[in-house]
Amino acid sequence: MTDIFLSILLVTGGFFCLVAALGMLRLPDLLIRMHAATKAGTLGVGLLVLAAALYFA
Amino acid sequence: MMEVFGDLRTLACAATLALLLVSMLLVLIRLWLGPSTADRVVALDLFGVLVVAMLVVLAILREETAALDVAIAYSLVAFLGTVALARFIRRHQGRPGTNLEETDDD
Repeated sequence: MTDIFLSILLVTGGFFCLVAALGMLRLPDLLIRMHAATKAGTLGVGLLVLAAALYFA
Repeated sequence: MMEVFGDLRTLACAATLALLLVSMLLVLIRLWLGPSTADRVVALDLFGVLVVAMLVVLAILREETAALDVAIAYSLVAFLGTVALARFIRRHQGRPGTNLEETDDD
Protein backbone atom coordinates (compact mmCIF):
# COMPACT_ATOMS: atom_id res chain seq x y z
CA MET A 1 0.00 0.00 0.00
CA THR A 2 2.83 2.36 0.89
CA ASP A 3 4.57 1.31 -2.31
CA ILE A 4 1.56 2.27 -4.42
CA PHE A 5 1.24 5.67 -2.72
CA LEU A 6 4.99 6.22 -3.10
CA SER A 7 4.84 5.42 -6.81
CA ILE A 8 1.89 7.78 -7.33
CA LEU A 9 3.77 10.59 -5.57
CA LEU A 10 6.93 9.93 -7.59
CA VAL A 11 5.27 9.90 -11.00
CA THR A 12 3.12 12.96 -10.18
CA GLY A 13 6.19 14.88 -9.05
CA GLY A 14 8.04 13.95 -12.21
CA PHE A 15 5.03 14.99 -14.27
CA PHE A 16 4.92 18.43 -12.62
CA CYS A 17 8.68 18.85 -13.20
CA LEU A 18 8.03 18.04 -16.87
CA VAL A 19 5.22 20.62 -16.94
CA ALA A 20 7.61 23.22 -15.49
CA ALA A 21 10.26 22.47 -18.10
CA LEU A 22 7.68 22.53 -20.89
CA GLY A 23 6.47 25.93 -19.70
CA MET A 24 10.07 27.11 -19.56
CA LEU A 25 10.48 26.14 -23.19
CA ARG A 26 7.11 27.22 -24.61
CA LEU A 27 5.93 30.31 -22.73
CA PRO A 28 6.60 33.63 -24.46
CA ASP A 29 7.87 36.07 -21.82
CA LEU A 30 10.49 36.15 -19.07
CA LEU A 31 8.07 36.73 -16.21
CA ILE A 32 5.64 34.07 -17.45
CA ARG A 33 8.53 31.62 -17.70
CA MET A 34 9.54 32.53 -14.15
CA HIS A 35 5.96 31.80 -13.10
CA ALA A 36 6.15 28.33 -14.68
CA ALA A 37 9.53 27.58 -13.12
CA THR A 38 8.59 28.62 -9.59
CA LYS A 39 5.09 27.22 -9.18
CA ALA A 40 5.15 23.98 -11.15
CA GLY A 41 8.79 23.26 -10.32
CA THR A 42 8.31 23.75 -6.60
CA LEU A 43 5.18 21.59 -6.62
CA GLY A 44 7.01 18.81 -8.48
CA VAL A 45 10.06 18.81 -6.22
CA GLY A 46 7.80 19.07 -3.18
CA LEU A 47 5.94 15.94 -4.23
CA LEU A 48 9.23 14.09 -4.82
CA VAL A 49 10.59 15.11 -1.42
CA LEU A 50 7.28 14.03 0.14
CA ALA A 51 7.79 10.64 -1.49
CA ALA A 52 11.29 10.50 0.01
CA ALA A 53 9.92 11.42 3.44
CA LEU A 54 7.31 8.67 3.12
CA TYR A 55 9.92 6.13 2.05
CA PHE A 56 12.54 6.89 4.69
CA ALA A 57 10.02 7.30 7.50
CA MET B 1 9.55 -5.78 -18.12
CA MET B 2 8.83 -6.53 -14.50
CA GLU B 3 11.80 -8.83 -14.10
CA VAL B 4 14.07 -6.11 -15.40
CA PHE B 5 12.76 -3.39 -13.10
CA GLY B 6 11.93 -5.57 -10.12
CA ASP B 7 9.19 -4.16 -7.92
CA LEU B 8 6.82 -1.24 -8.33
CA ARG B 9 9.04 1.27 -6.52
CA THR B 10 11.96 0.66 -8.89
CA LEU B 11 9.68 0.98 -11.89
CA ALA B 12 8.23 4.27 -10.61
CA CYS B 13 11.73 5.60 -9.87
CA ALA B 14 12.86 4.70 -13.39
CA ALA B 15 9.82 6.41 -14.94
CA THR B 16 10.39 9.52 -12.82
CA LEU B 17 14.05 9.61 -13.77
CA ALA B 18 13.05 9.45 -17.44
CA LEU B 19 10.59 12.34 -16.97
CA LEU B 20 13.26 14.39 -15.20
CA LEU B 21 15.75 13.64 -17.96
CA VAL B 22 13.34 14.95 -20.62
CA SER B 23 12.70 18.02 -18.44
CA MET B 24 16.43 18.72 -18.16
CA LEU B 25 16.75 18.45 -21.93
CA LEU B 26 13.96 21.02 -22.44
CA VAL B 27 15.51 23.39 -19.90
CA LEU B 28 18.86 23.03 -21.64
CA ILE B 29 17.20 24.03 -24.93
CA ARG B 30 15.85 27.18 -23.23
CA LEU B 31 19.32 27.76 -21.78
CA TRP B 32 20.74 27.51 -25.31
CA LEU B 33 18.35 29.94 -27.01
CA GLY B 34 17.21 32.20 -24.19
CA PRO B 35 17.15 35.68 -25.65
CA SER B 36 18.50 37.58 -22.65
CA THR B 37 20.76 36.78 -19.73
CA ALA B 38 17.81 36.85 -17.31
CA ASP B 39 16.13 34.05 -19.27
CA ARG B 40 19.27 31.98 -18.92
CA VAL B 41 19.46 32.67 -15.19
CA VAL B 42 15.86 31.48 -14.71
CA ALA B 43 16.55 28.38 -16.83
CA LEU B 44 19.68 27.63 -14.82
CA ASP B 45 17.69 27.96 -11.59
CA LEU B 46 15.12 25.47 -12.83
CA PHE B 47 17.94 23.17 -13.92
CA GLY B 48 19.31 23.20 -10.38
CA VAL B 49 15.85 22.37 -9.05
CA LEU B 50 15.68 19.42 -11.45
CA VAL B 51 19.11 18.20 -10.32
CA VAL B 52 17.86 18.27 -6.71
CA ALA B 53 14.76 16.31 -7.77
CA MET B 54 16.94 13.74 -9.52
CA LEU B 55 19.11 13.34 -6.41
CA VAL B 56 16.00 12.74 -4.28
CA VAL B 57 14.73 10.06 -6.70
CA LEU B 58 18.20 8.50 -6.70
CA ALA B 59 18.11 8.39 -2.89
CA ILE B 60 14.82 6.47 -3.04
CA LEU B 61 16.05 4.17 -5.81
CA ARG B 62 19.39 3.22 -4.25
CA GLU B 63 18.15 3.44 -0.62
CA GLU B 64 20.94 5.84 0.24
CA THR B 65 20.15 8.67 2.63
CA ALA B 66 23.48 10.33 1.84
CA ALA B 67 22.01 11.49 -1.47
CA LEU B 68 19.47 13.56 0.48
CA ASP B 69 22.35 15.41 2.18
CA VAL B 70 23.90 15.97 -1.24
CA ALA B 71 20.55 17.36 -2.44
CA ILE B 72 20.37 19.81 0.49
CA ALA B 73 23.93 21.03 -0.09
CA TYR B 74 23.35 21.35 -3.84
CA SER B 75 20.16 23.34 -3.38
CA LEU B 76 22.03 25.77 -1.10
CA VAL B 77 24.84 26.20 -3.65
CA ALA B 78 22.33 26.64 -6.51
CA PHE B 79 20.50 29.34 -4.53
CA LEU B 80 23.78 31.19 -3.91
CA GLY B 81 24.65 30.94 -7.60
CA THR B 82 21.28 32.35 -8.63
CA VAL B 83 21.64 35.26 -6.21
CA ALA B 84 25.17 35.94 -7.48
CA LEU B 85 23.98 35.95 -11.11
CA ALA B 86 21.10 38.30 -10.24
CA ARG B 87 23.54 40.70 -8.60
CA PHE B 88 25.76 40.40 -11.69
CA ILE B 89 22.86 41.41 -13.94
CA ARG B 90 22.00 44.28 -11.62
CA ARG B 91 25.55 45.57 -11.63
CA HIS B 92 26.26 45.23 -15.35
CA GLN B 93 23.07 46.86 -16.61
CA GLY B 94 23.69 49.16 -19.52
CA ARG B 95 27.37 48.38 -19.75
CA PRO B 96 28.68 47.63 -23.25
CA GLY B 97 29.94 44.15 -24.03
CA THR B 98 27.45 42.31 -21.84
CA ASN B 99 24.47 40.87 -23.67
CA LEU B 100 21.78 41.70 -21.16
CA GLU B 101 18.89 42.70 -23.35
CA GLU B 102 17.10 40.58 -25.91
CA THR B 103 18.80 39.86 -29.18
CA ASP B 104 16.82 39.41 -32.38
CA ASP B 105 18.24 36.03 -33.44
CA ASP B 106 15.51 34.09 -31.65
